[in-house]
Formats: sequence, structure tokens, C-alpha cells
Amino acid sequence: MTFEQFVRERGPGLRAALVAAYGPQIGLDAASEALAYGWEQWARLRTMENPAGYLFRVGQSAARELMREPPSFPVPSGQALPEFEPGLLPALAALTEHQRVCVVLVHGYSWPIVEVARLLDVTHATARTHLQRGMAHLRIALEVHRAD
Amino acid sequence: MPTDEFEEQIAAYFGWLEEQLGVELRAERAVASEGRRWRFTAIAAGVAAVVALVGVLLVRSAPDRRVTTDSTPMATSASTAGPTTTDEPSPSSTPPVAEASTWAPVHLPPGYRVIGVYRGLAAQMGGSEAADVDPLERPVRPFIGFTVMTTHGPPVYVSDEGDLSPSNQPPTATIQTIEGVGELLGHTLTTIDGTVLRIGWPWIDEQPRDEQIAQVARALAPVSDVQLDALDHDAQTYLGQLPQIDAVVLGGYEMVHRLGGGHEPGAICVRIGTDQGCRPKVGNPNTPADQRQAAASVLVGDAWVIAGTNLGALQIDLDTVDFAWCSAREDGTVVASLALSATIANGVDYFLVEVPDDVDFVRLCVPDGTTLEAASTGVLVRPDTGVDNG
Repeated sequence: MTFEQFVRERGPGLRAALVAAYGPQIGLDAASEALAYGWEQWARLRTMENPAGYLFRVGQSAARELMREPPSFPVPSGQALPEFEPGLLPALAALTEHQRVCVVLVHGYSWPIVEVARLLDVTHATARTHLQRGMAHLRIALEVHRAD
Repeated sequence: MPTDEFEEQIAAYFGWLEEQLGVELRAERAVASEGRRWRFTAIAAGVAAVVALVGVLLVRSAPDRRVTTDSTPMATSASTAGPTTTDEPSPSSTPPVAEASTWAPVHLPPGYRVIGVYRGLAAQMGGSEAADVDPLERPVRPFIGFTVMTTHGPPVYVSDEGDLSPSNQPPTATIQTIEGVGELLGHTLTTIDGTVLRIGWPWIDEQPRDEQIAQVARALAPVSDVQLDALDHDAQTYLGQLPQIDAVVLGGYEMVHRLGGGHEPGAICVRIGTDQGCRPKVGNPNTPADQRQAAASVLVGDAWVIAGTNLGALQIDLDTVDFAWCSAREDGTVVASLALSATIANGVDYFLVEVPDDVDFVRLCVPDGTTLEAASTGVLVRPDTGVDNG
């Protein structure tokens, strides 16, 4: 696989995961740094079984250098998302990094949990637990109840 | 708010965010052309630190983890295009060790210090016979590992990964090659007698520089069990003198969280009366202290105690526990979960397990429905009661 193919196929997911973890501003910067590193090191990375997972960790390191505050997500206008629950974003920001990544990738971008686990270098069971815990925290914070 | 609507809001928001950012964030599904899927051995990155601290590498099931294509050799600092031959010390620099049982970094230059000695069982790594077997299901065998701190860079971890032959090599055995294997595995280091070690930094975050790795590689020499015990004792004594951050009492033991600085890891110490055992608390210095994960497997008096911080999802607020410590058999199979005490102090989750006297092997495990599964490739072994834990 060429680096260009890799970026085309895996780049969006890498960006999504880092945005989920660190918010759009730092997440996108971290994704850029990770991909730049990937370009430089592609000869080595392409032999790996999961270069996306490796670059996610590169992005994590870059983001943690930049992080000074908890991640922040822009608030949509009332016109853009009229029914939007304003408490959702601070509740998301309060999750742990892995919980937030799992929640956003699974429920925000419809990733299968197995793919999230792959990116995070964790087992399916661990990713599922992060997801369940993240969703449980959000439900408590937002007083979500089951429709039935 | 009903559940369905709540989940829809998450989807709607991140769809909106993608539009606002003007970049594609939708995930690709599994890419079939990428070949065999990852089969990582089970543990979250943070827990990798816990596991590494007890001497177990995060591994995956590659049949041969040496880079065989046009990869860059590890020893890039030497600016060579192939495997790097390190400087071989003169035979006289490594005195004969008749009863040598393993290798250890004993000839460290100033500024380097062994701060962790780990002895346990680990799943067999490498070798084509293991290629298709999940690492968690592979047979375990004795391993030894070390964490070497440097004052000018992140710690270096070196381990035989459980597939070292007993090291009765001649004292002139020296490092022959260091080859890059990339990712989490550190690097393969081969001595002239064929011994293979892993060296590097086995978990995510900052990697040690090549020159640091080379320094530790050059310091390796055959040692006896007595020398190994002395190395362990010195390491624990050093850690026990680090400044105290916090102390909690769990299960009758005092657990002391000690501070590192810069690249110097802190420590987790457990003490009762005048007995104390310590292990380094490693992790990315950029990670908030309350999120770093660590575990100490120590003999405190006559008791074997496993204690540490932030074991997976130990927050008990939702009655969910990701990871636990389980008793195990010598072959690595999990038996039952062990009682665990936990508390939170200053935002840090502390846990402690006093291992029952009749248990000699302990393994990190994870509940999976009604069963327990191994969650790391390593198995802790009850420390030798003959070892003074400082």
C-alpha cells in the first residue's frame, strides 16, 4: 500500500479518532502531525500490521504536548441543530479519553466496535467496556431514560 | 431524554462537526487488503503500562517480528544501513560468572540506573510455531525484564520475553546486532551466542533514543541469581527513597505513591512495619499523574502484595470493573479473581491485592460474561521469599 492509499483509506478515521479524543482544534493538528510522521517513516510503517493504530499513538503523543485544557467542542447554533442538548458537549468532554473515542466513533461515526478496538490497541471486550462506561456516564449526566 | 434520541444527537452533532471542519471524518471499514487483522493481546494502552511494570510486554501475534523489508534498522544513530554491531567490550571487562542464570544491564555508564527487575512467566513470543496462536493462549515460560532509567531520556526496558535459554553463555558473549522491529515491541537484540532479547520501550508515548538503547545493550552481561537479587534490592532501595506524594492505607498495608521528576519515574511502594517493597511507576510524563497506571508486585514481609494505581476501570461508581487480578496455574490458565481493596485519594485510584498464601501465580484478567479470561501475556510469580525486598 502506498502512503497516498493509506491516507485515503485510513486518514479520515485517524482524524475522527483524534478529534474525538482531543477536540477539533488539537485533534486535527495532532492528525496532521501523525500523518506527516507517517509520510517520513512510511518505509518502516508500511511493514506494520496496523499503521493506523501506530499513527494514532503518534497523534496522541503530539496532542498531549499541545493539551493545556480539557477538550472543547464547538457549540452548534440553534438553527443548525434545533433540538440539540447543550449538556452533551461538556458531558462528552468529561469522559476519559478512551471512553470519548469509543462513544464518538461508535455513535457519532458508526464505527463497528471491533474497528475502534483495533485503532486503540485494545481488545474488543475492553473497547466495549469503555463504550458502555462512557455511555453510562453520559446518561447519568444528561438524565437520559429509556423510551420504553 | 430518551435513549434513542440521545444517541441520534451524538450522530447529528458529529455529522454537523464534520461539515463545519470541512474534513472527512467518516471511518473506513476494515480494509481487506491490509492482510491479517491485528490480534493484540488484550490490554488497553494504559494497562500495558501496568503489565509492563510487572514485566510483561504488550505483544501481538506476528510470526516474525523482525523487519524484513526496507525498514530502517533501530540503530539509526550509528548511521548504518544494516544491522548494527555494537562495540564489543574486551573479554576482561566482563568477569566470568560461573553460575550465570540470565543477562542483566550491569555495566551501565553514569546517569543510568536499574530501577526495576521483573521475574515471572510470559507467553512465548516469536517463532513460527507460535504465529497462529493467540498470545494469550500460548504456553508461558520464565522471563526476566529490567527497566533502566536514564537522567536524559525516557526509561529503557529490556526483557528476554520468556524465550531465552538459560544464560550459561561464555562471559565474552557480547551484543552482535540490534534490529528494529518497530511499534510497541522495542527492538530485537541478538548476542553472538544467539540469545535474543527485546529492548526499547514497550508501550506508547515517548521512545528512548537509539543511543540510550545502545548504552543499555552494551551494559548487558551474564549474571548469577545472587547478582540479580542484589540488583533488585538496590533498585527497590532507590525507589523507596523518592519523595512521597501520597499515602493510603489498604488492607492493613500502607501504600505510598512516590514522585519522579523529569524522565525519572516515580514509584509505588507498599509497606507494613519495617518491611517495604517498591516498583517504578512509569508512564508518559505528559500524562496527568492521576491517570498513570502502575502496579507493584512485591513481597512485604511474608506477604505477596500487588498494588498500584488506576487499574483499568476500577472506578466503582458504575459497578463495572474492566480488569482484575486472578489466581492462575503454572501454565498460565486463569483460576479465579482475587479480592481487591480500592480507594481514591486526591483523584488517584489506588488498589491493593493481598495474594493468598496458597496462590503462587497471578495474572491480569478480565471478566467476559460468566468467565474470566487472561488479559495480558504475563503471569506474576510469587516473589522468592529469600529475596530481601528492601
